[in-house]
Amino acid sequence: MSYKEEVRDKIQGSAERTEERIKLWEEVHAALDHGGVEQVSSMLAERVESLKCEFEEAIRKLQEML
Amino acid sequence: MLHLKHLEVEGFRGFPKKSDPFEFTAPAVLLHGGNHQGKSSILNAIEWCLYGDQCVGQKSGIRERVGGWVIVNRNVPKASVKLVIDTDKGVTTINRAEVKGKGRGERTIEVELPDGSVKKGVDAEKEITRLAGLSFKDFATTVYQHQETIHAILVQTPSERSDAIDRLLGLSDYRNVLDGIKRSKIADVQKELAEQFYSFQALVEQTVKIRQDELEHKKEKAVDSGLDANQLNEHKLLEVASDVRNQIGKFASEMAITAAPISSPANWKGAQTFTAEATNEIERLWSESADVKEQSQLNSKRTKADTIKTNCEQQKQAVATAEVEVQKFEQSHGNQEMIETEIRATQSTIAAVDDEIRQVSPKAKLVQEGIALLEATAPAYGTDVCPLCGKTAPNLLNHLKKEWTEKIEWQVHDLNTRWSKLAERKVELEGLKAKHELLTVDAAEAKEQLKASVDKAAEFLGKELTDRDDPIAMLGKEIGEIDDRIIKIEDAIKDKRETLDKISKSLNRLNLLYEVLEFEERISGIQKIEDTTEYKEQNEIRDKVAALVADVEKVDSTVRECMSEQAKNKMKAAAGAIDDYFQKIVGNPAIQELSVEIEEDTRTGGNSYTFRDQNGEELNPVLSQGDLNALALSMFLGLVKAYSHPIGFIMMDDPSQSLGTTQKKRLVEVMDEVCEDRNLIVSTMDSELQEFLQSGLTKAKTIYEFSNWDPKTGPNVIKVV
Amino acid sequence: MRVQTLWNLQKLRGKYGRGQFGKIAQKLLALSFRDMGYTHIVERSTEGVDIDIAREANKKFALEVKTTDGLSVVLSADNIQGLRERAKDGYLPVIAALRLAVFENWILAGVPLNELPTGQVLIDRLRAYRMSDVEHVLGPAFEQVAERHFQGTLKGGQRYLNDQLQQTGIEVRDL
Repeated sequence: MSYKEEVRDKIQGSAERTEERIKLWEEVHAALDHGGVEQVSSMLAERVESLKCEFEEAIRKLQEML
Repeated sequence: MLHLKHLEVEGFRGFPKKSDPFEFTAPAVLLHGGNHQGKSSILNAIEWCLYGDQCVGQKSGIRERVGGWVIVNRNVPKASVKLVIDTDKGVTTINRAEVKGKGRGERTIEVELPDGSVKKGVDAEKEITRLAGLSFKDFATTVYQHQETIHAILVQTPSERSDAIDRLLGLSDYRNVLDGIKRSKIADVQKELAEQFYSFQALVEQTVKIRQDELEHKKEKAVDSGLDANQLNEHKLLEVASDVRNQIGKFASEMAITAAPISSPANWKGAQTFTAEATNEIERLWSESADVKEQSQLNSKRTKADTIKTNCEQQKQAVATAEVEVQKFEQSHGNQEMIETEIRATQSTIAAVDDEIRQVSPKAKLVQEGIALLEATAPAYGTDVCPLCGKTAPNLLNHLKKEWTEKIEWQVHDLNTRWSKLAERKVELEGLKAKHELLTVDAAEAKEQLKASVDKAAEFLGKELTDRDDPIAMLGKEIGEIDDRIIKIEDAIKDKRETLDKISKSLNRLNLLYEVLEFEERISGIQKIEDTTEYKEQNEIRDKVAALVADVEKVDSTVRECMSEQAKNKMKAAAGAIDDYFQKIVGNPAIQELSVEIEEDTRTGGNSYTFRDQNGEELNPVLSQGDLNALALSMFLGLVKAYSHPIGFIMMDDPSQSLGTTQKKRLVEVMDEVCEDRNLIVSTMDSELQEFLQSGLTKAKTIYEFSNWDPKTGPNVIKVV
Repeated sequence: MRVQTLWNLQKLRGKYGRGQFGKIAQKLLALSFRDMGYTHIVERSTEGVDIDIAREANKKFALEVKTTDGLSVVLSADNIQGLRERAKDGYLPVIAALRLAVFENWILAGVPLNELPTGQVLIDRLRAYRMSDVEHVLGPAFEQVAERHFQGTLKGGQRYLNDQLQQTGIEVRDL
C-alpha cells in the first residue's frame, strides 16, 4: 500500500469532516508530486491567504462602521 | 527476478561521450577509482533508466537531488542511457533519453520487449514499472544504497540523523508532506486573524466607552435643564415637542398672526427637523409683530438721531476752538490790517537805513554785495573772476574782504546792525501774517462743516433751521421722545418675550433629549454591528480558517502516525538482520544486541530513533563514526534482507566512508553473504575496500577501473575480469 | 453578547477575581442550559468535568468550561482526562469557551476525543468543532440568565448561584 493510500485510509477511519480531509489529503500529495515541499507549503498558504484577505476586508468595513 | 545485463551511457552526467558497454552479468561488479571519476554516474544511470523523473529533484526524497542535479552532461546536448535487463520473460532493452532545453528538456523512453515489440512513452513507463515490480522509494531503500545516506547519518545532528534514517527507511514522502505543512504556517495566520479581531474588539470597547462618557455628560445636561433623569426617553421628547407646538400656536394667536403649520415629529429622530421648523416659525412671528416692527424702526431712528447730534456737537466745538485761536492770535499780534501796516513801515525804515549806509560809505553796499556774490558763485566761477564784468582779478574775494574789514566795516557797523534787526522783524511780520491767514481759513472751514451738520439735522427734524435755532438741543429733545416710545413698546412686548423664552427653553430640552437618544442609538448601533453582513462574514471566515487548520492538523497527525507505524514496522521486520549485520561489521563485544526505539520527535515532526544495547543503554552518544557507518550499512542490508523483492541486484555507493580496516573486512564478509542471493554492484574510491572485495568476495567479479576523468571526454574506464 | 451583559460580567470579575469568576460563569452557563430545556444537569465546582448536560439519550454532553480575556485557554491533561472519563458514560466531550470581550459569545466545541488538544489552545482553533445550533440558542439564554442573576450574584457570589442552581433542580457537586 502506498503512503497516499495508507494516510487516506486512516483519515477515512476518523469521524470528523472525513470527506473534506480526504480531499485535502489528495490535494496535499498531488502538490507534493507536482512541486515537492514548496508546492505543498504554497498550496496551503495560498488557501489560507485568500481567506485572510477576505477577513481583512471585512474587518476594514467593520472599522468604518464605528 | 530482474537482473542487469549491460549498460551504455552517452551524455549522461559524468559521461559526455558514449561509453563502452558495462557488463553486469557477474555476481559482483566493482567500480573502482578516485573521487569524481564517474563511478556514481553509472549507478545513477541504472536508477534513471528504470525510474526516470522519479529519481530526479524533490520527489526523489534525496536531499542532494533537490535543485541542480543534472541529467544531461553540460558539454553535450543530449543524454541517453541504454540498459539491457533480463527477466523471467526474457531480455528487454530500455532506452531513455533527454534533450537539454528549458526546464527539463525533451524526454523519451522506449522499451524493446523480448518478443521484439517496442513500447514508448507512458506505455513504456508502465512496462518498466511492471518489470521492476518495485516502487522507486523501495528501490532507494532496499536496492540502492546512496552515499548521501551514510554521509548524513555520519555527520549530521541527531535530529537530522533521524531525518536521514527516515529517508533510508523510505519515509521521505511523509517527511516532505510534514515539511510542507510546517512551512505553510497556516496556524500562524489563524492566530494573526484572531489578533486582528482582538484589536478590532479593543477599538469597539474604546469607542463604546467614549460614547458612554459622552452620553452621561448629555444626560447630566438634560437633568440640569429641568428634565427628570427617568424621563430621558422618546416619550418625553415627543411630549416636549407637542408642548412647543402648542406654545407657538398660542404665541401666534397673541400676536394676532396666523401660525404656519409645524408637523409634530413621528419619533425622536424627527426632533431636529421639528426644532428647525419651530425656530424659523418663531423668528417669523416675532419679525411680523407690529410692536416689534416699530421697535426696530425706533431703534434705527434713534441711532440716526444720535449720530447727527454727535456730529453737530463735534462741529460746533471745532468752530469755537478755531475762533478762540484767531482771537488769541490777534490779541498777541494784532489783526491782519495791523500786521500789514507794520510790514510796510518796517520796509520804509530799511530803505532809509540803506540810504544812510551809502552816504557814510558809497562803496560799502557794493563791497558787501560783491563779497556775498563771490561767495555764492565761488564753486562755479572761482573767486578771481568779477561776477559783474567777467574780468579776472586775482584774489578778488580776499581783496574785497580785506577792503571791508580794514576800511569800511568800522564806518557802517552800527547802521548795519540796525539794518539787520529791521530785516529780521520784517520776516517775522510776514510769518505772522501767513499764520493769521491760516487760522482764518481753519475757522471758515469749521463753520462750513457745522453748517453741513446743521443741514442734516434740519433734514432729520424736517424743518428749516436758522441761526436762532439750536439743532443740538432740538435733536436731544427728539431722542428723548424716541426713548420714551421705545420704553413704552418694550413694556408692551415684555410678555411676548417671556413666552418666547419659555418656548426657547422647551426647544433646548427637546434638543438635549434628542442628543441623549442619539447617543444611546449610537451605542446600540455598535451592538448592531454583530448583525451586519460584514460581521457574519468575518465570523464565517474564521470558522473556515479554523476548519482548514483542523483539517491540516488532522492530515499532519495522520501522516505522523503512518510514518511512525511504517518506521516501526520496517525496523521490526528488519531488526534481526540489522542486529546481525551490525554485530558482524562492528564486532564490539560490549554491544551484544542492538535494538531501536522509535518515538515522535515533537520538534521536527519526524521520527526520533534511539539505538540501545542489550542492557537498554542508549548507544547514540557512544557510537563512533565507524560504528555509525556500520549502523547505516546494517540498516540498508537488513532492509534488503527483510524485504524480498524482484530486483536481482543491490547497488552500494561508497559504503566504507568511516570504516576501519577490520570493519571493512567484516563488511566484505557480510557483502559476500548478501551476494548469495543477489548480484552486487559496488562503487568505491577506497582501495583497501577494493582489495578486500577482490580477495574476500567468493563470487565471480567484473571490475571496472575509473581514471583520468576529463570534462570533454569523461573517464578512462578499463574492464578487469 | 450585549455590551451591557459584558459590563455586568466584567463587574462580577472585578469583584470576585478571575478564579472565582470562572466558577460564576460556569454556574450561569449551567442555569442557561436549564432555561434551554436540558433536564439533567450536574455542575461540579472542583473535580471532574465542569458540567454534564443531557436532554435525550443521544444528547448528553460533558462540558469543560473556560473563560479568558486573551486569545487562548489552557486545557490541562486533567481536563482532557475528565472528558475521556465522561465519554465512557456516553457523554460527548465539549469545550465551552468564553472570551470576555465585546461581541463574544460562548463557543461550544464538540471536539472528538482523539482530536482534543492540550496546553495553550487558541480559542479560534475550537471554532472548527462549533456546535452552532446549540450556540444559537445558548447566546440569548445566557444573556437573560446573566441579567436575571446579576444583582444577586454581585451581592451573594457563588453561594447565591448555588442556591439558584439547586432551586432549579440542577445537581451541584463538590460544594
